[in-house]
Amino acid sequence: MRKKRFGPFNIRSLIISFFTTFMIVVFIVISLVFYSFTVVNMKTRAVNENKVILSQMNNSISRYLTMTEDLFQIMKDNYSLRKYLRYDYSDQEVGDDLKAQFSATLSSIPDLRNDIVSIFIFNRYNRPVYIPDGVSMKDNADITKTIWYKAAQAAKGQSVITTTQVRTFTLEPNPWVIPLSAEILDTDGKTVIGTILLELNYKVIDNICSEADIGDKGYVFMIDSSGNIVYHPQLQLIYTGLKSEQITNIMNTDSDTLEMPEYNKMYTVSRLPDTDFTLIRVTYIDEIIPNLNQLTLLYVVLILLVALLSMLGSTQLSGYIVRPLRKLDEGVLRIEQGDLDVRFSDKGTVETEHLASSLNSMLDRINELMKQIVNNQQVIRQSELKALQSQINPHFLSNTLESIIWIAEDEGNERISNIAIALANYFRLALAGGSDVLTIEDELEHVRSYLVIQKMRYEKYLDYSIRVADEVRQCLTVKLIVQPIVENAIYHGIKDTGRHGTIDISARGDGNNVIIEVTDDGMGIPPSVLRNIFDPSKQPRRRIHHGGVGLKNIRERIKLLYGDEYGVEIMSKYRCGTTVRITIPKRYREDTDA
Amino acid sequence: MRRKYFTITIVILITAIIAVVAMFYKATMNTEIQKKRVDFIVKSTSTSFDFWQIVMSGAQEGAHEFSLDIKFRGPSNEENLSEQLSLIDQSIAENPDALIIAAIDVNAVMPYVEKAEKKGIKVLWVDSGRSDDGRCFVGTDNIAASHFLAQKMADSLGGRGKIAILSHSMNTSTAQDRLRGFKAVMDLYPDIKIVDTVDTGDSSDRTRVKAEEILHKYPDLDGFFATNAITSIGVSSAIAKLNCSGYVKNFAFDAMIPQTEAMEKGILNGTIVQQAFNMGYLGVKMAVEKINNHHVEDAVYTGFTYVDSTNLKEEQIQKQIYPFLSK
Repeated sequence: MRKKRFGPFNIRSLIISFFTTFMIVVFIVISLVFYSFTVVNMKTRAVNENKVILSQMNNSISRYLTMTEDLFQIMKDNYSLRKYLRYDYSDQEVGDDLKAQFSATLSSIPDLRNDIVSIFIFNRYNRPVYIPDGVSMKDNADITKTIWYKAAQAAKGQSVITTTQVRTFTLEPNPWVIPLSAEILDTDGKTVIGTILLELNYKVIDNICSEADIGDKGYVFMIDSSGNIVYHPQLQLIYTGLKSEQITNIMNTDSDTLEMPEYNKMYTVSRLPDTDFTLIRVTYIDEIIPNLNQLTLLYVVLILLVALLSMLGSTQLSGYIVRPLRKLDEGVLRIEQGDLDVRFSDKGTVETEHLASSLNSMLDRINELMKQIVNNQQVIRQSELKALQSQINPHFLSNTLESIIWIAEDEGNERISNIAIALANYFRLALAGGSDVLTIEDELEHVRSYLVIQKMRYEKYLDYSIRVADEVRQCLTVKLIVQPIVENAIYHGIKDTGRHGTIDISARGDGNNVIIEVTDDGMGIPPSVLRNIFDPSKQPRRRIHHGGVGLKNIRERIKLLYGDEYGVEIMSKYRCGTTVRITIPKRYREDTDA
Repeated sequence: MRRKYFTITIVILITAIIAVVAMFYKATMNTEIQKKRVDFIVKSTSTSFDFWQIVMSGAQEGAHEFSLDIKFRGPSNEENLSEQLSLIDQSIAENPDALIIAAIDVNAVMPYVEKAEKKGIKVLWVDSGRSDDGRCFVGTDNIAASHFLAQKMADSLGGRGKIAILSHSMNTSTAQDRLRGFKAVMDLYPDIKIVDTVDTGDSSDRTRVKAEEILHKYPDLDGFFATNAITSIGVSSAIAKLNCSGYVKNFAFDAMIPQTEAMEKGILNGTIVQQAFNMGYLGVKMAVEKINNHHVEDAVYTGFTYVDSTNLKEEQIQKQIYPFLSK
């Protein structure tokens, strides 16, 4: 069992549907490939951009920290400060000079560098030795509980930066700062003689980060080794819990990028060398990747456009193919209906042009063959006639009749001489070779000879008259067409009645035509016979035995020579008589070359 | 016939494409060009009182994040109702997309709210307003917070004693809610007696004077409840001045720097820290939701934290007490 086939389809819908589907499929495939390529490309670009930004920040921050630590070192190494702390002159007048010296140095530093908020120095008992002007310690202040102090203790003389925090051991103001702290060790490198705290303005990192952050999407934040956020552009929202970062995940990853699609974030991580800080740049995934919804909408629009264009295109294309085919189809249909004069347009595609010219030449050939067949038929007829004519030696017959006439006149038998003269006339015309046409005068003279002979035979029964209008006397007609009709009138018309009959022959002009009529008042033709009078096969046998040249033959000869609109008509009323009318064009000898 | 159908299909397709393209452009244009405008009416623009400054910086943060134009308006202090009403009227005249109001007096503000809504302006409450009218309230759940605080105070009093309440303007919903929540808990303790409830408006000095009067009038007073930072600062100065810290328990709302200093000195025993920054930020965020016709809850509570001397120095608490205002 084969599957049921749909169709057949027409070429146009096949082309349109196939072409359109094909274009859409191709477009979708290209879009998908392009989209995935874009996504990968965009991500790579974002990561690379982030890395460049982060390395710039790294450089800036490292440079800044180095600078600051150098300054910090200078402060720590301040001779008068160290001396003051070593001998712990806190509450002794001896130290006042020393204190004035290092205080002057220290108090000028925040004025020179606006990234430094303030400097604090504490002695080995954690009592303040130096605090900035305008700041006063809280009565119950205990610096040993602060993060920066613990960090400095743990670092054992190394300077250490701790996470962003608020200073609470003083009265207002309580700024958020980034503390840089260190224990001040004695020359033995072991004994702690004091602690120094340098508070960095939080805005410094903010400035460095925002200056270096040339990217337009995303932001940077900084964490320390224990995951505390040191810097974040929305630090307050982080502190109040409305925003968060995936710090645990960042700390646990070794790679320098971390994608968190569930938070719509991509982290690029960069660790600051020589510190325990890590810079992280955050990019929103939906900002890197072109908006899927918008893109989908764009693609849908484009697909519709492609569909529309390919439909228009394929309609046009199928038009080029189908239109010539349809014309060919219409032409072939007309040929089928019998019109051989159809010619096909040679405009269209190469293929249809080829087909059209082939069909055209085929039609030409058919027409040529048809013409040839007609000619052949004519030639055959004429040669048949000529053969008939040549069977009777016209000279011999003529001479014989001359002899009969001569004997009859000699004998004084006028009747024999008359009939012989008529017969001689009859044969002279009938057997005259050459042209198939002759004047109406000659044709009717031939008929008259025939009637003269027949009159001798049927003396009492037959009367005839011949009337020729002068204007048609010289007109041409087909040879020997009237005599067979007259013969029919005698044998089938008058003879059968067994009584006297009259045959009336007339020739007259009718416009451009000549009308020859043979009228008898004989038997007439029964309607059943009349209906098929031109079809010999349907006639009773006895009708065609005589004369050999039937009405059909006459009619065909006329049509062959003059065309379809000419021919023979028969009007008959049974038992009353028959009129045979021949219609031919009015032509003269000069007109025709035949 | 066939041709006709084909033409119709083409026409429909072209129309569809034009429509889709138009929609597409409209969608992208809208997000890029039209910047929404939000007006924020606070209760006080006084810079001496940090609370509203923090709320505004939170709102500023939100406006920055959601690309909004924001305009703040507010009277010189929390008592100036008529000034606030005329500022609301000014805002309505400027036809913002949304209006965020911290009402000095909800009932007085209500006709203006209705007027704004008739013009198609979305209205939201921040801090003070109504949490039950479907307009979206962003702020502290004052009833719950005062329940919590009252419970702490009752515990510290051992369930017995005389207390006095010093409230900021009782026309405002925050004062009403805090008083209702506080009294509801105290009603459970028959031995705790509220000897006085005073409205001292928006003035620390006035509160200090009033608190001193009360301390003189009731020498055996066991505790004070101050309903906000302004009143709390007044009460603390009175206690410090009369040197009776420790004898008189002091509970309050808010944790402004003078309050934390008082707590460090043992003058203030316990307080509720509100999330002022979040109020501003979430108020703006909810306004955006409302402008975009998304569903918003009746009440978005920003949370509160109870602070006393035991947790004052904790890092998490410090982050809430000392607002981080870098910008």
